[in-house]
Amino acid sequence: MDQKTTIGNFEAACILLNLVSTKIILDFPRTASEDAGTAAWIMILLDSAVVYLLFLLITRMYKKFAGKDLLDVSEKALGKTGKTVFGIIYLAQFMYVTSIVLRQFAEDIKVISLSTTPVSIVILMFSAGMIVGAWLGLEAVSRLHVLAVPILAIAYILILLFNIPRYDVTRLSPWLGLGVEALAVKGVFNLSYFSELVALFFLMPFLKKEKNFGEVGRYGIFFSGLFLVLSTLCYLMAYQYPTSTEFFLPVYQMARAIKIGRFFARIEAAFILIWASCAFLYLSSCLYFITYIFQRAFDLKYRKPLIAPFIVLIFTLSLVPENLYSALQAEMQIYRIFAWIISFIFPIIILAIASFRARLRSKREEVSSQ
Amino acid sequence: MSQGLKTVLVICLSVTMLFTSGCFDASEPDDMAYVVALGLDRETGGNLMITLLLAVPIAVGVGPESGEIENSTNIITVAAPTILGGINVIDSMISKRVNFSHAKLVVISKELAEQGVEKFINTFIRFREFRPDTYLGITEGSAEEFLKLSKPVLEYNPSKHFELIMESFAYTGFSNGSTIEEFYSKMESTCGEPVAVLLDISPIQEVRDLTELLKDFSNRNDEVLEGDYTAGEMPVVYENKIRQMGSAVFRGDKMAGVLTGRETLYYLMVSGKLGDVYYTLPDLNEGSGNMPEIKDYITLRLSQARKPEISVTIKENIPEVRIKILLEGDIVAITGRNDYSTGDALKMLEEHASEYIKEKVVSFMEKTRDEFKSDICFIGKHVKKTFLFWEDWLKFNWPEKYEKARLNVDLEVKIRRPGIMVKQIPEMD
Amino acid sequence: MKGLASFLKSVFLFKPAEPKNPFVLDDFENKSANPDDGRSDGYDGEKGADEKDGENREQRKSDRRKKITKPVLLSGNDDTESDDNKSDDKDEKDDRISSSVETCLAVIKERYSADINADFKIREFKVRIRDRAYPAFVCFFDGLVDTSIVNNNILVPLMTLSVMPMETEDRSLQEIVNDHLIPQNQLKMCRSYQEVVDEINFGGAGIFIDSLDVAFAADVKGWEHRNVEQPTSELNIRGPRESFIESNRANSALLRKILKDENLIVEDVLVGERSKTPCSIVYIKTIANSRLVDEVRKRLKSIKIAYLRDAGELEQFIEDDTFLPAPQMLLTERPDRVAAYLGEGRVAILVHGSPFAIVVPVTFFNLIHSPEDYYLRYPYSTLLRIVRILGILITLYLPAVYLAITNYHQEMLPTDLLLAIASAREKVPFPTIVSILIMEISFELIREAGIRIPGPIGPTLSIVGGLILGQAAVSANLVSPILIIIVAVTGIGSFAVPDFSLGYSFRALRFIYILLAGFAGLLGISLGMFIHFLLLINAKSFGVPFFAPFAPKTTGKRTNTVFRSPLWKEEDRPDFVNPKDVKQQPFVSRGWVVSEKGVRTDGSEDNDR
Repeated sequence: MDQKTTIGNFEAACILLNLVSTKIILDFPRTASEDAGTAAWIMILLDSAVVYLLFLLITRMYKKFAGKDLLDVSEKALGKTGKTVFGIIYLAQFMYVTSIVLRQFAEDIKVISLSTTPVSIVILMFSAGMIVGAWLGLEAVSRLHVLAVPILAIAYILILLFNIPRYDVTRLSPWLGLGVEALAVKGVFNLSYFSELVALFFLMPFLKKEKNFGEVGRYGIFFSGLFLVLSTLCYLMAYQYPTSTEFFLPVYQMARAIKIGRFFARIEAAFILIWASCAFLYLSSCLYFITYIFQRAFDLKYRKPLIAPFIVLIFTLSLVPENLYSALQAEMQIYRIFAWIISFIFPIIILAIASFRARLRSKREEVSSQ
Repeated sequence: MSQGLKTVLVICLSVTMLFTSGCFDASEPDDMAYVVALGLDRETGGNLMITLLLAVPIAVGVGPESGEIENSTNIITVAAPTILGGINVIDSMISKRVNFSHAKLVVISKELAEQGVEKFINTFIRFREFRPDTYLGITEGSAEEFLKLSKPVLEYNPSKHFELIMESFAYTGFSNGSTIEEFYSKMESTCGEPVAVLLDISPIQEVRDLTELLKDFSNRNDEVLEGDYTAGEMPVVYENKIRQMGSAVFRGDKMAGVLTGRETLYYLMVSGKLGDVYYTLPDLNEGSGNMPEIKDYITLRLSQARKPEISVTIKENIPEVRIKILLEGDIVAITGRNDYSTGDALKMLEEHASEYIKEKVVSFMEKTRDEFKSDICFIGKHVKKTFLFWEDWLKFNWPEKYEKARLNVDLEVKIRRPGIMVKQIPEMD
Repeated sequence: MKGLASFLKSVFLFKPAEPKNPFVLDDFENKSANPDDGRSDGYDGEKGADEKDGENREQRKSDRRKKITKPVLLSGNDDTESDDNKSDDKDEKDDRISSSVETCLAVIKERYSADINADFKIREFKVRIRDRAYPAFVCFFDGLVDTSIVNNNILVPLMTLSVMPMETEDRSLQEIVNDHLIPQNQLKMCRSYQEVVDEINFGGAGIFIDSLDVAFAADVKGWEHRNVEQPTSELNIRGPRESFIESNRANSALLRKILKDENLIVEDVLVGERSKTPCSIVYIKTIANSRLVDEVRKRLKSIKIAYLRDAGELEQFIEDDTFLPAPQMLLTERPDRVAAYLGEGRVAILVHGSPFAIVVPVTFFNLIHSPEDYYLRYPYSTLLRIVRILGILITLYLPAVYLAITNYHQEMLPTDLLLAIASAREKVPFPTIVSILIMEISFELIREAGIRIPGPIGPTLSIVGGLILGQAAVSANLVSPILIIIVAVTGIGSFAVPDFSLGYSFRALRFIYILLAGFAGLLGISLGMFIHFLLLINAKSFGVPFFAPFAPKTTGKRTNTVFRSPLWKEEDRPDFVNPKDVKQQPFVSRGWVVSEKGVRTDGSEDNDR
């Protein structure tokens, strides 16, 4: 608490990239193609552009409050209650996402390789990694991101490259898929795929130079958007439209189908390493954010004792859905409907109110000083 | 309490947690029975007959002195309503646990295929243990016979045996190497139809039995060159009785017909998947020399110079299909006295080859259109690219339109190299 | 009951960590007044909070040691067990050398228990100066001194030279003796007994002359020691083959032979109350970060133990994290390597009695460099580094990955290989994890035993153990032959790790990975990797993060980490050491390329080939 931990720009960008891109290895290409058919990649491209613009807007508004995270700004906007309320909202968002994603990872691992192990044991293993990551703090986790994320990105690109013989551009036709209205409507909901970007606003106090957060955000959005678009594009080129909505782990399917000669054919178990690493990085940074938000929202002195209760909570929450996959999917769909509001609209509102009040205050001071 | 004791406590707890939960999924590699091939038949009562060809590792690998175990495979058949139900039954009686992750071939009998393979394909795709690159074959007779008679002769390893047989399409052109995933994808596709490998058992035991078969061939109108027959009619005598040649054509998930080996070659040409094949061409000039009744042939080594260009235009609901195929080849053998290696003779050969192959391709395409009514060459995807919306494409209903399509084929063969002989000077009479 | 309650309390309740002030090596040298961006001030001066804490901890540690190793009092005059401060004070007043040589003799005899100590020699003689004979004596430890120097440079001049005519009129006796009569190059005038005693204990000779209230202590070291030989643990083909020996001075001399720099400072610190082991802090004044040097000095001076035997012990006393599975400083036997690191701005610590020098700070990547990398041409050394990294990966992960794949992910093996493995395992009664553990443990046993087997049987037994035992195990169907290959390759890979200590850590961690792989396959291995890397990344070596320059992305060029660059490209010293002067060579370090290859010297274009 005495020391101020700082992380560099590249580290923050890697954290953002991992947070947003982990969904690629879960079920993102599948749900995207379900929403927009063969035009899923167009939808994601447009979504990335919209998020980029939203982020530029937020950057503009944030200039006044550089160096403060979102909870500080909400305190300025709506006072202490505002801070608590928004703290709870974001806490709930992160907890929801973490428990769902944790369960998804555990279930997916169960289907891929460890079929007999009970789900709770697998979740326990993931939790062990999460605890260590959250305990050691943001510095260690962000440095591990710097080491691991480029390697994971290269490995993922390799999977896409090895599948080149199977790509067929005509599978992307009909080019506008399920229609422009569907694209537009679903596109707005799918802004939620970028909802983890709100973590950047909580990383703000840790950045070395406060004005750099714009750069971090832009790079983060650009690369995560690039990866999302690439993954959807390649997945749709490898599997035509109605079939592409059937596989539950798209990237796993693509990794399975890699066959270069008779020998180099079955490397999808190496894919488990990539996959599990992404999972650990994502989950431990999420747990860190959860405990951090809680500490900041309620102005607590110590963060580390929060890890134990929250891990128990998340563990329990992740075991809540009974019906495995369909229930998970349904919950994810519900979440996707309004997550974009929480991640993008709320910060804009908070910033607007805060800057408005700040202007009011400065005007009042001018008046009082005259 | 000191820090050290706390750490020790945590370690003890986690280690005991590790050991009490145990390693659930660990299974030793020698506790599994690896299936090499799976066969499906339908028995009269309505049950499925599932045949498994299991590999025996100790005959294949390092183990004790080879020769101790004669057969490197074991075959077992069970009758059950579903595939996995049958596997359960088998698991309860054999000493190891059945594992499909190294299955190389799935064989389905023809009558089952004609009733529709969708239900089985769904199992293969959904069940994790089946790999997407397992080959799918249809056999004219019964799958159980097929697997029983398969015997790897040139190697010990049965899975290598099947794999190499299936992969031969890259250099023979007589089959199509279709895998489960490809089949499933094509089956679900709205712009094309799937094919499967055609397999059969040979009834020929000795060379004597060959003559019957060859008499049948000579009764046909056209000349029967190599590959102009299906798997069951192959004029080959061999210890291993299984045969592969030709393709099984499907419409949706039901089998619609068979293609001979040569027709499969043309199918590969149009789809753009031709490897490097040896192709026999009848000589342009009549039998020269002393023995006019023995025909002369030219053997070319053909491969695809470029992917075929297919364009489709729709005029009053009738698609006009224009296929442009460019092949290149080397001359491998000339049996006649005319030398086509260079110059004008070469050009004549090229034209003759182009004409000849083009006729064959056109008749193959017409066969798919009229007899099978299925677009196995995926011409539909070139139509699909002109559409913007999915509903419009579905309304267009390509499979119906294909039945009325007009097909034009432009084929050109370019001969690049004449082998290592630049000239072939016939002997002087 | 109360103990149980407090025990449970301490397990379940959170105890906030005491405010710590760990040392952070930052770049204060090259920055002006404003503090480093957001980073804390690591060094607060002599009496910071952690200083006391550290001291208390050290005090407690040394107290505990003292409680165990407190010797039985031999005589009543034993003041040396009590605190240094008190004895210092006492010496100041009571320990002054008396003018009477008989008193001195009595005190010395008492101090050294001369009637029991067989190797403590006293030679009494008379010095003749200005027509008067002063009784004197010289005392030393036989075996620690070079007796010929004692004879020729102390006894001879004092006994005979004094009759030579010299200017003696107005000079005091001690001046005459000091200036003319003891032609010895290292002579110290001592006012207290303790000073003389300290010198005598380390190979000096104490000279007491009547009517002088000072004594002289001459440094006449000359004991039996090993010659400078080839290094035993860091062998190489190219490059010098000298290694450090056990003498502190000889080691610093070896360093000075290589770095002929007057700014090379060798500071002495005595560590250990009984052993008073001289340790030297070696650094280049104009390059090394002075806060780093201060921190090293502070840590060394604050150690309070009874005996310090070896550099390995010293490493354990000054390292940041005792339980980390990786060493945080480099121990090396080779002076050329230490000189190279000194040139980069690091600090070396030499310990008397140990042929290993400690280099701090060090990052993980330094631990996987071998000394030979710089003596070979660039393409070969790059290839060697790749091979070494492969060796490290193999030694850490191969048995675990084999176990994970054959037990959990059989579909990943090519069918032929799988059938071969399955058939090889048919006759083996143990599950794979048990046979791996058996083979690994026996391999470790063979390694450990091979060190202690005498004479010529030693290396032979390792080979015998490996080959025959392995073969016999296969024939007896205890293990499958593939496992022998795996364990052998793993063992060979562990020798590819250049740093001895890091190799040990990998050997130990390999077992944890095997257990994790047996528990959950590749998921277990990734969990292990995640936690392992997190712990390593979190570690610091003297204020430098362990994975610099990758983990915190420092701004300098990252040349010598995994791969190195050609020597003429390495213009900067490593940035994370924060040296005073970052540039070590100019942009064009080979002058001849300007004319022969047309390279511009302004540094704008990097085509210096």
